[in-house]
Amino acid sequence: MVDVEFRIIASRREGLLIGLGQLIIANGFHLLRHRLGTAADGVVLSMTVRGSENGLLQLEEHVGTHAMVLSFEAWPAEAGPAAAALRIEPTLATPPPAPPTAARATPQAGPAAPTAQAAPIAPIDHDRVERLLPQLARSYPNFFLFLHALEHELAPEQREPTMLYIGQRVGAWIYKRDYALGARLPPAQALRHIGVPALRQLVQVDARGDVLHVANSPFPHRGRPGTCCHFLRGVLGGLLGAAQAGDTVRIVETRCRNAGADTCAFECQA
Amino acid sequence: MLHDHFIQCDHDPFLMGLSYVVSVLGSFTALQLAISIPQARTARQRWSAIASAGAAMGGGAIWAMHFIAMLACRMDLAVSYHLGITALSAVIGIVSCMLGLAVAVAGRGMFNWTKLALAGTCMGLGVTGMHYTGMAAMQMAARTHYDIALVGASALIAIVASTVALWLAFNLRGKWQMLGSALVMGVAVCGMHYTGMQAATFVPDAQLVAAGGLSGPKLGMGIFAVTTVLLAVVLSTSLLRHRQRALVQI
Repeated sequence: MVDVEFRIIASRREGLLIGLGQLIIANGFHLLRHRLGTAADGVVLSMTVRGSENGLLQLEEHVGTHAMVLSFEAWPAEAGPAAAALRIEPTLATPPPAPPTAARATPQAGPAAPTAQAAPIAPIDHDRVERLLPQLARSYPNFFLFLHALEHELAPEQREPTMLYIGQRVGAWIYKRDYALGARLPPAQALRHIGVPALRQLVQVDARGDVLHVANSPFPHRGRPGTCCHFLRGVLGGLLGAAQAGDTVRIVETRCRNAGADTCAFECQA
Repeated sequence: MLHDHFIQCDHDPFLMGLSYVVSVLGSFTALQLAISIPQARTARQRWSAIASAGAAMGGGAIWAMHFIAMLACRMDLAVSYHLGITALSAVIGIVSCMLGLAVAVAGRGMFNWTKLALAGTCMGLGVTGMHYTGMAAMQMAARTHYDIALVGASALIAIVASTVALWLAFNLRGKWQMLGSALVMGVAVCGMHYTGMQAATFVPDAQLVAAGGLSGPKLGMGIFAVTTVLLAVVLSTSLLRHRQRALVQI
């Protein structure tokens, strides 16, 4: 067991401790103490964690690639910060935030700002998505923490296309990994024989006829209105699209717990 | 009704069990190779997968099973097997299985009931054809007579169970795809064989003799070789799949 001290510079305070706390627990460590402060370059979180030395590299990698982390230093707790002088791992840390994405630029621009100066909003931040995807693959199937963090950061108009796209990539990846062997199946059968077992790795799924009901989707009740399980919709679309050899498969979330239903329901419309 | 002058075939339960295990092992190997056929990108890949799956099914699941079951059949007379007809029986099993698998995955790899029924019939008839050709290879001082109704029943068992096994292998995913299909295909092969043996009656005929051909020990060596190859293929396929799975990029 080792005690390691982290000094993390983050983009904002809200949700930082919860996000990193869950990350620490997910990596088999526990938090001994922490302190939050503010510096010129962002929010500073100092924390000491304890866990197995074998898992330290992975924890550092996860901290470094966390969506809210701008940079971090880590050193053995007893050695003091001087020992960390060269332990900054810029390659792991998320690069300093790019010019605010469109998502964040728009509200800042304010109503009086000339529209020509507002950066156009890209529906999907591909750089960010591409950085996140390998992390999702490594953490599969326990990756909702990363998705929540990303979703939280996205502008409202980016959420659906981005989460849907990530879901499709993850679904296609799961299909290639675990379900590619065998015949290509028509959509209804693919939903039953591929969609259900694949989604069961992530959430509680119940198939009633050609409709999949998810009882515990982690996306509802996070302060947004309407149907919100875009990621799960994307996963199903990616799985079934790959099973159809690239044919278009449209998945519709017909009911959502976020809109008051008892389960989130998904239907395939080929 | 059996008469005193008919020769009885008493089956050794251990070897009967072993014959089922070998047919499941052969079916598992064959179906694991077969389910990768729809993923083939070139005609060459496709045909080589069909050929290897057909060989594993015809040679391993059917042929090896049949002759282990024949070793399990104890009769009070010497039996050997005509080499040419025995080889022909293996060819029939392999070719019909290849044909069945080729039909099953024809087109874009989509399954439909017509293809499934045709493929199951090809494979079922392959199992049946191999069995009765293998029986024709028997050299002994007895003639074999068949109950046609039971022969028909044995063929029907082979066709139905092969069809079910193919459906499980190609349509399902997970453990039912992996193991369920092999267990059912084992039922197809063994069910057909032992029903076929019930259909056979051996009547002594002093004019016929067991001369030359393959006898017990040589047959045992052949079966051992086939089973070893099957195990090697299963192991290497499993290792290869594990590696490929790890290499899939998101």
